[in-house]
Amino acid sequence: MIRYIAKRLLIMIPTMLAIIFIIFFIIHLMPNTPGRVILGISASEEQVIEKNKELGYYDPVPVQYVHYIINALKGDFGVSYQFGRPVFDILLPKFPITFRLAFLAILTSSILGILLGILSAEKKYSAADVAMTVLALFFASVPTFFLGIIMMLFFALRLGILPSSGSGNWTHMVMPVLSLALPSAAFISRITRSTMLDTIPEDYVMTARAKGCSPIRIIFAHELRNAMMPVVTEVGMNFAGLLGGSVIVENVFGLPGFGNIILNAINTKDGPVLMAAVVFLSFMFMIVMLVVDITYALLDPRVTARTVGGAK
Amino acid sequence: MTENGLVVDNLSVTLKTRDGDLMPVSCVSMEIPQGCIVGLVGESGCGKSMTARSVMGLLPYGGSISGGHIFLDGTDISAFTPKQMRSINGSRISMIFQEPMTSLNPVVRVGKQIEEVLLLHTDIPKEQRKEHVLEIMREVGIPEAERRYRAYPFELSGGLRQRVMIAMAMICKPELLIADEPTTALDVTIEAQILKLMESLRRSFNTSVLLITHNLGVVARICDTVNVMYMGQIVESCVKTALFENPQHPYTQGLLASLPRLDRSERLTNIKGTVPPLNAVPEGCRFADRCPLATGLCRTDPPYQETEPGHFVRCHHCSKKEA
Repeated sequence: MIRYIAKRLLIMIPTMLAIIFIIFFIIHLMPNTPGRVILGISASEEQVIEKNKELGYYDPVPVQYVHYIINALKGDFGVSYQFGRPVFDILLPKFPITFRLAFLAILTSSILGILLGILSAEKKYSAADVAMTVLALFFASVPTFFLGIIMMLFFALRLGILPSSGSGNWTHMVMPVLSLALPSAAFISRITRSTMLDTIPEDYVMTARAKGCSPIRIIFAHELRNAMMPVVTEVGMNFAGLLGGSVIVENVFGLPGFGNIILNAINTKDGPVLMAAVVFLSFMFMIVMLVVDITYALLDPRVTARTVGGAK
Repeated sequence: MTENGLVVDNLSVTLKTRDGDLMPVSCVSMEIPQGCIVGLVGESGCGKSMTARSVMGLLPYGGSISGGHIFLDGTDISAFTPKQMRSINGSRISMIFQEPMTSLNPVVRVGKQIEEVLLLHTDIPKEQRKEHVLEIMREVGIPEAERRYRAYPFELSGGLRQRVMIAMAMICKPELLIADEPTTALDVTIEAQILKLMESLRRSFNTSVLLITHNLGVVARICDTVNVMYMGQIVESCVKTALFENPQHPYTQGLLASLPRLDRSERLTNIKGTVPPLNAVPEGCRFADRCPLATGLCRTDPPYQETEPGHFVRCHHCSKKEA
């Protein structure tokens, strides 16, 4: 198991290098040289060229790439064009709010999605199952910003029980979390339903019944664990997506998170910030996927046997 | 009617399907006295497994007991609520299945799966359960029980998995073990070992066994009495020796004649025709269409009668022969 994790961590290094190269190359293709971004439109062409030279902009891209990697390993991700401060200092304070949002959203959607999925599967074709199918279809198709705005209208304007935007105490998190969690819960409940339905006719479920297990015990001790693999993948993908993709929700609810920073960096062509943010998100994505794979191995011992060769 | 053991009295099972109600088991009666191994033989789909599952209260969706009673030590368990059934399933009646490959939960250690039975049915404290599990694992002939306790099903062979199933079924020392084709998926060497094991467990725990099989060789090896089933009915019931030496129902005779034998060289015979589907049950004797002895009389329901002491046959002609 430890060997397996170590191997996966090692594979992350070349992957990360490749990702950085691609992002680096794309950002280099952006119009406007860094000198122009930093000095503004009033600066003269000479000043801009001087600044660009200082930043090493005219070096070949591979050279700049190597420089970037070396500096990044030292923890230096460059200086923001817009704010003139180290990128790291700009990004780091934004991370907790995004992480909290993503974590709460994925927690809510997993619990909701898995429980409703189980209920749907156990009461197959019942009114409750049909109702949940319709609801899931609705929440899976409605855009996040629309859901956010509707909730805002209802909870903030009509009922006045939740603040419409900003960050502060937990009440500010309720609507953003829900507008991210509900669509994700819709997907998770569908997947849980179908994998649970697959386990119900399995022989080991009959064995469990023959042992005298209660229906609840059969679901949680026998069926769910076998049905969890695809669900875990879905949860992982959603979580990784939420870590970077809550741009819209952060904007709708005025939360100063990662999404805002990325959007701002794109608008102001702030290369170093954009670069570091995307690199960071790719890194988080890989970590989440590694956790998903480790969860696989914990859920199903056959996975380790296949990938590492022997369960011990 | 014996007091101890299992008595199935006039049991019928109805299965609701889209094409109407079917009756996979109709008016089945049999006795499994304490400590006996009783065989239930028949072709696929004849209702053997349905009979067993109704005893366990594990009928598939849409299936229900529509008539008759099942008595376990004199208590009518056919009227038990699901909750009452759960309390005796695994402790007083247990069951093992045909496919040891898929009958164990693939993601749970086998020791834990055996232990679950103790958790469900006994008050044995957590620390002592493992000792009990290891004991029964040794009893059913699992070598290196300590190591196997931590193994997952995919790490064990088919024979070992079936032993794990047996350990799971026997750990509470049940009064009745239902074995639904326990050796069909195993090769003959392992089959012999498993049958031997069941025989020895029957003796040491005084457990009755209902052995469901389509293999007459298995019956010959360990059963005390045999019930032959055809299309949801028991057509012949007798002690094992009588079945092989003096089969009376034409269906039983047909089954025995279609077994290959080393001491005879004539061509193997087979029973002509095929089993009709359950939604087209023939009037009268259900075997009549395939029976070499069939006459007009067979269009009426044949009586189920004792032709010799302890030998019951459902056939018009058998009674005549005796007379």
